Amino acid sequence: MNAATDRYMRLYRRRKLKDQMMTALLRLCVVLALIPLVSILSYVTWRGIGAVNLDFLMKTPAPVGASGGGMANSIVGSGIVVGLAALMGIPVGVLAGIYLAEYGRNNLFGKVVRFLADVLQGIPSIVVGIVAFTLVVLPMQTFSAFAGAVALSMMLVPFVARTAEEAILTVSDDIREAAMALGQPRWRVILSVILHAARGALVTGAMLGIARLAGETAPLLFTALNNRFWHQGLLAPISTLTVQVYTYAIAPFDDWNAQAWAGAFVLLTLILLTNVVARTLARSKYGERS
Amino acid sequence: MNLFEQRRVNENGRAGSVAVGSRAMTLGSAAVAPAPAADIAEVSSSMRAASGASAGAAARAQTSTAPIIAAENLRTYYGHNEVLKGVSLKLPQRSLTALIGPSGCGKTTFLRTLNRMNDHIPGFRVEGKVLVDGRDIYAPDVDPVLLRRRVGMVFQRPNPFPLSILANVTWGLRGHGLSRKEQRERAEESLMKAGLWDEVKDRLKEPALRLSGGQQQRLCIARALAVRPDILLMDEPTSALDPRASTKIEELMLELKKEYTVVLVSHNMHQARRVSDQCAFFLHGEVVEYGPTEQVFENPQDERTSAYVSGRLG
Amino acid sequence: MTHEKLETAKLGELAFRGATAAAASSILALAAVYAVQMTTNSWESIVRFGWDFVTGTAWDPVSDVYGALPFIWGTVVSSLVALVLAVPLSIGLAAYLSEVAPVRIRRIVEFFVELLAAIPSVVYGLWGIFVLVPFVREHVQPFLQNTLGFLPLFQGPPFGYGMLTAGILLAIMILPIITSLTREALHAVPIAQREASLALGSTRWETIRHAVLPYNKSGIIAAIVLGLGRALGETMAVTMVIGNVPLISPSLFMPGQTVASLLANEFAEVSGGLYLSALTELGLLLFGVTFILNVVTRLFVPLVSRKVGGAAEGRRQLT
Repeated sequence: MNAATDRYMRLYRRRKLKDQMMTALLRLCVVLALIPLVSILSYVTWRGIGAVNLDFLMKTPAPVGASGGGMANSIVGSGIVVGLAALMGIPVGVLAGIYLAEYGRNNLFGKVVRFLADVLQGIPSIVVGIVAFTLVVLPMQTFSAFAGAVALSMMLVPFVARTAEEAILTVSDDIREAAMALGQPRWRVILSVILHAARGALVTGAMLGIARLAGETAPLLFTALNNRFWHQGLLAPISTLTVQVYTYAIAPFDDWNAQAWAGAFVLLTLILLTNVVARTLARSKYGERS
Repeated sequence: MNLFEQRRVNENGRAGSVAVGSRAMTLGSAAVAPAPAADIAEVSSSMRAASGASAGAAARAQTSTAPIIAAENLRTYYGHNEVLKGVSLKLPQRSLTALIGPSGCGKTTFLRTLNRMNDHIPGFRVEGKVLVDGRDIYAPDVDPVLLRRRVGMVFQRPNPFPLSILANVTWGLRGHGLSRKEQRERAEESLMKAGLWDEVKDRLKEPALRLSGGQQQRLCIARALAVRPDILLMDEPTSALDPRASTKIEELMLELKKEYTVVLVSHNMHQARRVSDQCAFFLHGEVVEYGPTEQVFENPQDERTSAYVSGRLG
Repeated sequence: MTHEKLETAKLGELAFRGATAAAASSILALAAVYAVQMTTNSWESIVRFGWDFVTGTAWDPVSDVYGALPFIWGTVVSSLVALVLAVPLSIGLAAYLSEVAPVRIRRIVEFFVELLAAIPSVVYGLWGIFVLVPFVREHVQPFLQNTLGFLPLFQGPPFGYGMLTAGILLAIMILPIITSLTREALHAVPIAQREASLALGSTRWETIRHAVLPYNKSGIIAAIVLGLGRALGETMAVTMVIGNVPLISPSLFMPGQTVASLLANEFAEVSGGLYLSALTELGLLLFGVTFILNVVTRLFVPLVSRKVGGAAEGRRQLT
């Protein structure tokens, strides 16, 4: 009996050591994962803030060779393209979400749509760009803000549909039944009671969707293209912040590179702010999932 | 170290233990006289002896009358919620103690403090002492892993691993330094003790989840026995089972208590009465009554106990 | 209620329901449009080259010969490098979050992982060019050469730009999705399994390693596969650091090019004809592979019952 105990203890010392080592290794994973985050945030802040100035925020790009200029047109352009995409995508997405949560919870059509919405979110955004190119740019024979917005809205619809569905499902069936018991038709119950009850989560979802769109580059490369000037209507190529950052990042000029950092800083600030606001909103109003 | 490899050789402990049980019996929570200091010191010194049984050998013969588990003014909290409000209990070895009481009374919490299973619940806190063989198991230098090796547990719902029957039984033997053959022997021995051997000996490689609920629970008992604990905690082990399977487990308990110190949480008073040697009635986080089972059921000292055992109280 | 009013009410319900169903159908239509547009627009190239398209190594718009093997190579290799780096890290991180971390630290780390997921690809690329590439060139590659230089994987001049850097950057980018999906997979492991293990005298690591991780293997594999899907299609960051040279080389130090990065570089300059068709076929390849990966994992591994959770759910999807 004692020999067995001794053996167990001897082995246990080793097991315990392993336990401690592996736990330390797991903690190391956290550190390793956070190093890039810290590095990215600090570089973007450090190199970006230095390059952001009034010109950057107010002016269009300087011609090649000339110094100065800014990304004002790109910032506005991003706003236009993302705004248009949201205008097209959010209503469709929310309606689809209503269908999934209210009418199609268990039927086959609902299941297929839900499944495809998930799958489509896994499709690379560059592919979305190609499809929008063949759908809009080719027939219209021009790159355009509109084409860019179409590409982005194609990404937005599945995302919003699923988040809207989840948001609506958080509204308890008791409320549904209580409202229906008052003799209201279902659609009015949905529009007046349920959407109202779910509005916070809906807004959060939409904000997150918009934040994600604002960071997209690939689907815009050959739909919205780029433009050195202020926007010239929805049917003309338009500059966006992301494409401009890309263009300036890979350019061999130092001042363009500096502007790319500035653009990244503005972009990241907007996106992270939207994210944080959306989540704080969700957390403060609707409690937190444990 | 005999903290976890102390096999009880003494067979005459039963009567004595009950006596200890009654001595520790209490109405209310704080009324237990502290155990004689010398007694604890002796047992705990035997526990602390890191190398072998030399120090423990003498103690071993004696401890048969000493409680193997003793809670002293135990208070537990989940966050700000006080669950156990000063529980003092001494459980004698090699017998079966049943903890009864309405749901939410703290009996399961008490059981789970005995192998520190509540440790990983956020906000859980313990005050007071839990002594196992005289050693405070919440002392900072106690390793819960070593404790649990000695204090096995069977849960409310059968929770076999999604592995073969054999792999389930040998699962806890990882790190015991046993050869494959030894593990296999240990598995057979444990399955026999759990009364499952005949049913599964020809299909040890089959997935455990293919067994019936009652078989799964006996497998979990075998799995716990395989690491050779001294104490076995059973948390309503039959509540998820049908009556026939429950009966089998009950019969098993009667066998197990000859060799192990069994602590049973039961929601079923008939079961508690059938299998236990002493019985503790919990109510609102306190022990209302503790004593020999017969006495608790036939001649309860407290009004609330008699209300509960006669079915008048939740 | 009069008969007419009842009719109007019914009509309203019908109209509303119809509108939502139409919106839902648009998702179905979207999937169909993807497939149809990609196929018809690449048909010319498919017919012309057949399998040669995926086995050919020459990509020459001037003489209209298109073989995509170097890009497929680049895509697969950079994604594999990413997986090799990201999978252990993500699973470790997920295990830490789910099994080890105290609640407060867990919240903070989860928040940071979400931030990592919210950073746009082009910002990763920018950081890649100016921070990661020099770091890899000056530290990582010389180190690898000195220690593991006998492997063909780590031979050649340290450019900085190339497969290795692209793989590292991809690893950072897919870390959040693999982590959060793995975390959900671990979330689905019953507490009872952990307690069973602990009660048998297992250490925490043994419980993680032998009871928790194996319990939901399929969920973890699904997380990895979906991470792979992300890596295969990731465009901007890779384009910015991979060097964009269509090479098939065993060395990770050499530049390469992926399907997505080729598309990013060349698609805007094309006006039509076989060239456009060939580029679209590349897109179709990417679409097909990621579509199948997604369909298969989601069909066979229901990714943890989607409980109601509104915003929390939105957070999940964003990562």
